[in-house]
Amino acid sequence: MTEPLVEIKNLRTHFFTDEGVVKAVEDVSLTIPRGKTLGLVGESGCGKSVTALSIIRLISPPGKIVSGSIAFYDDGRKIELTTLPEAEMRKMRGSRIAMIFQEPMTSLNPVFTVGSQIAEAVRLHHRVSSREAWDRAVEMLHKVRIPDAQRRASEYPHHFSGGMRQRVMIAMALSCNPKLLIADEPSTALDVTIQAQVLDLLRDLQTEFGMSILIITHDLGVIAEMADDVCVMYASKVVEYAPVVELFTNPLHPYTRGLFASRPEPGKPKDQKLRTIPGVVPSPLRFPSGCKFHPRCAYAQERCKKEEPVLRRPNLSQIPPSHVVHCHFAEQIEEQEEAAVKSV
Amino acid sequence: MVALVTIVLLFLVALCSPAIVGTKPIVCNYKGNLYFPCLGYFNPKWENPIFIKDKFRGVYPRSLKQKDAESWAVWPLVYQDPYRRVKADEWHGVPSSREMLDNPVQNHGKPSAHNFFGTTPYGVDVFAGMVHGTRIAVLVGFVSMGIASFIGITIGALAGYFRGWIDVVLSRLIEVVMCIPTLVLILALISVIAEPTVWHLMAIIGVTSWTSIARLTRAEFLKLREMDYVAAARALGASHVRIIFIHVLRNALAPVLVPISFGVAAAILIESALSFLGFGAPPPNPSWGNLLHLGQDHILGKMWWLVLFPGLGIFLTVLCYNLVGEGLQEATDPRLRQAGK
Amino acid sequence: MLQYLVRRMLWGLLTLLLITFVIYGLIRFMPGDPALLKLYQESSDKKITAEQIEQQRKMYGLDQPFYIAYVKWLGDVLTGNLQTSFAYKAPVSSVIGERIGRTLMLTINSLILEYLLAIPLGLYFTARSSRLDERSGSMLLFMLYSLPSFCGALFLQLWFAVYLEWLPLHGMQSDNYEQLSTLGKTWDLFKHALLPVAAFTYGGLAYYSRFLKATMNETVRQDYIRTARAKGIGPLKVLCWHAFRNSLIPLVTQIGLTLPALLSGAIILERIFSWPGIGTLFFQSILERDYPIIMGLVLMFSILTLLGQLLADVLYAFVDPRVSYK
Repeated sequence: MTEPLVEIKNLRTHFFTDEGVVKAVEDVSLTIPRGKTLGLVGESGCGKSVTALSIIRLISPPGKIVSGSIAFYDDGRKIELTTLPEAEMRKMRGSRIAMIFQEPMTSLNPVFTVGSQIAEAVRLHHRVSSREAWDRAVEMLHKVRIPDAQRRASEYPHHFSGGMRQRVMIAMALSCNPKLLIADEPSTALDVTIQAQVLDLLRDLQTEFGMSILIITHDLGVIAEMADDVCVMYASKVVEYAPVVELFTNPLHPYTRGLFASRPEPGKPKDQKLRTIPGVVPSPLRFPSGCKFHPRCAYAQERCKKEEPVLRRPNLSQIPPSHVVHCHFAEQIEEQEEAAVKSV
Repeated sequence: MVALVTIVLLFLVALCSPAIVGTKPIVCNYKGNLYFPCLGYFNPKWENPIFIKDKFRGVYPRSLKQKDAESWAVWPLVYQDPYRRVKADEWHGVPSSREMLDNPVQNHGKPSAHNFFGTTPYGVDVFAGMVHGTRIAVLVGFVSMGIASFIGITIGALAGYFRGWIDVVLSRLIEVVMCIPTLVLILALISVIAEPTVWHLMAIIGVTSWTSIARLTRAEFLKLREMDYVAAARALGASHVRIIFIHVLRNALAPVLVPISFGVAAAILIESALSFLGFGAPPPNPSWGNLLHLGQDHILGKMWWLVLFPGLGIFLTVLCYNLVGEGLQEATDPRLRQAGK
Repeated sequence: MLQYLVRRMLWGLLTLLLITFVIYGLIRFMPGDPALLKLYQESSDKKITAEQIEQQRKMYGLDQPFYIAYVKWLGDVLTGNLQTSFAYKAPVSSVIGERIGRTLMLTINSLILEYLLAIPLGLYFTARSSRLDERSGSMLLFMLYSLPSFCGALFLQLWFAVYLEWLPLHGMQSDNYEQLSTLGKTWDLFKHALLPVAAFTYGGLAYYSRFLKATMNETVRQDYIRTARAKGIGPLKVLCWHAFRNSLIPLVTQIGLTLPALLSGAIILERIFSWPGIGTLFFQSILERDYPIIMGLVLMFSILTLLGQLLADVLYAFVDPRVSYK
């Protein structure tokens, strides 16, 4: 196996609020391979965005990375991001790690032209004249398929539609050839057709620029389209981690099973109700004991209430070693489900 | 929180001012009957006529003893008067060890054990004036903002609720009134009145300072009238008046309290400014602004107590109302509330 | 843009008409007759005949009902004549013109000072958000903001002029002003203006820095600030360039809106410091029932208020690319 780009080990990010400590990310370990895409799925508030912000170190107070390591492998050098001095980290942002956000409508500064905002990123990390930076900005706008890029570079963000603004964001993020692009729900705020265009564009640009992508979403469709590996998060923890095809064929964790079952699918009998996961996401201030999913889990047993499971390889013959799950009873549940399918 | 407590304290002081400082007994037994002469500080008409008939001339301790040896009285905590100079010989029953003097006049009235905050050039006790001045400060805040809230909320509610041409007309009206320089208008209005009293002042401040309340109410109503429960109430056949006052206003009230609270601070400020300029309540009335005015007139006499204490009084009151307003704003503004998290 | 401006101007004119009409009506109902007042002043012990009064009233235009007098006044104003002051017996425009410079000397200087100090202060407090120095500083600003200007002015006078005797108590020039050299004159003026300017400035300073800090706090939470940081921009540049550029939008609109407030603040402060500007003039005209002067000043205040609002709108379009008046 080749060297990964980013390796996160046992990351903990907590928010020290007045009401108590919010453990937004607890003991998360994951690997972003070079040139590939890792998908991070979960409900809102499960800690996936905080994980991403921890990588680029944009956690704002009262949030803090408490422990763990984030290793970034750059040209054979290993850079530890959690302890990197802020000035060094700033050089990483934009040039090595770039990020695009969910809300294209508010993520661009309304008082500057889009061209100048891209050019600013270029000039921050490269010693170029403002003329060259501007040309680069126009080139990038062209690359993200904005028609008439030359003219539109000198327009303000409010002249652009949502989809166009997200393209501008992508252009800005890629303007310095980053190794890693973090895309935090890049298509959620957009119309469905625009969504597909933006995702297509991201994939094409990945082949062109060769960067890794960490894509964060709650939409399994986006994952299916974009990701190579998938990491499912629930209540600040990684609950299942597998290659994309493997996860979609053999979801093991009861939560992942629930996610798939709650997706509406055409062809399903109409009288059959959508299966939903009962209960609500627990408040990060008052997580349940033991396995955090047990109050909502149909298979929960006594042990689940007391003992927190570990992320482990399930003892099942058909499951490849790259698939790990955070459940005491993954094997038994799999057998039960198999039996149920057979009996139908 | 501290600010709220201070305001409540201010209210209590205003309410109990005659019991704290005064020369009129809180309760007295005179010729076999119980009287409450201290009420005369609230309204001269409430002072029992018997004392006027018996020629007390406002000096109670001596007169009581002279005219009825059997009489007894409960006195205010501090024997001083906000209206006149207290003389040494009026107060009987002090232990002989404490020498009583006339209140000092001119610039000799430094703060002392008898006059906590000193005296004015005319020998009137500043502390007494301050305590009785709280009544005006509290009243001004309440009455003027009551008037302003009534006008502001009515106009704002009508404009925001009915929209259309009513909104256009009322919004224009708000804009026009906002264009008038407030102090200029107030001075002009006051000059129209032959003998301005505190009540006139309050009314004038009220009718000139409703614009911000109206604007906010209008904005709230524009937002709230789209809410489902308004549609639901209308579907149930509720009248406009009912919807405006029962359904919408109750929900709009919290944000509208913000400009009202700031408005109270502004009203107190304007009143003291006007008194200070000499346009306020006629001088014998104890108002903080009047005391400050005296302080300015006699500034060369180095009577710092005449400037410091009333100044502090105005400052602290305004500060407290501003703090309360700010607290309300933080509590009702969802954007700020989010920031707190 | 032009069409918008024209429309705004028309509304402004209508508003002006309304305001001046109301004020004109009001001052005519003021008790006290300027004609009588004038005659008393001029003929201290002579008896005043009814005929004299009538003549004087006619001269002042007081014999007509107020609405007719208003129309006459309006006609005069439209031809550029603000009528003649009763008390100064000079054209109102020259009486005001003579004093407005002195008021502007105070207000413009303090306005410049306010912005010069408030902007760095507001930025500094945003950068140091919820640290100890920011909290104590903000509290102090809040207290300054709550200290009425006339109280502050009196405290300043008492301390610096009466006790320390460093600065003159009031007035604009020393008695020996005429004999001083040019430099001495400037220095003298500076000494006299120091306290009034300070009294003018501190409230506004507190207001603006708090205002800027509040808008900055709002701005730094916006998504585009996160974007800027994700680009790798340093915190200082994010604050002073990306965030401040956006907070500038509400700040400049404030300039226009505070212009009239500064002038009405002058009414109180000029009186405390006996500064012979338009504030004192307005005050005296009310006492003397000098109708033409009052009307002239009201007209000026109102025009300034409206101009301030217009200025705010124009500046708004200037700093915010999203706004265009079409």
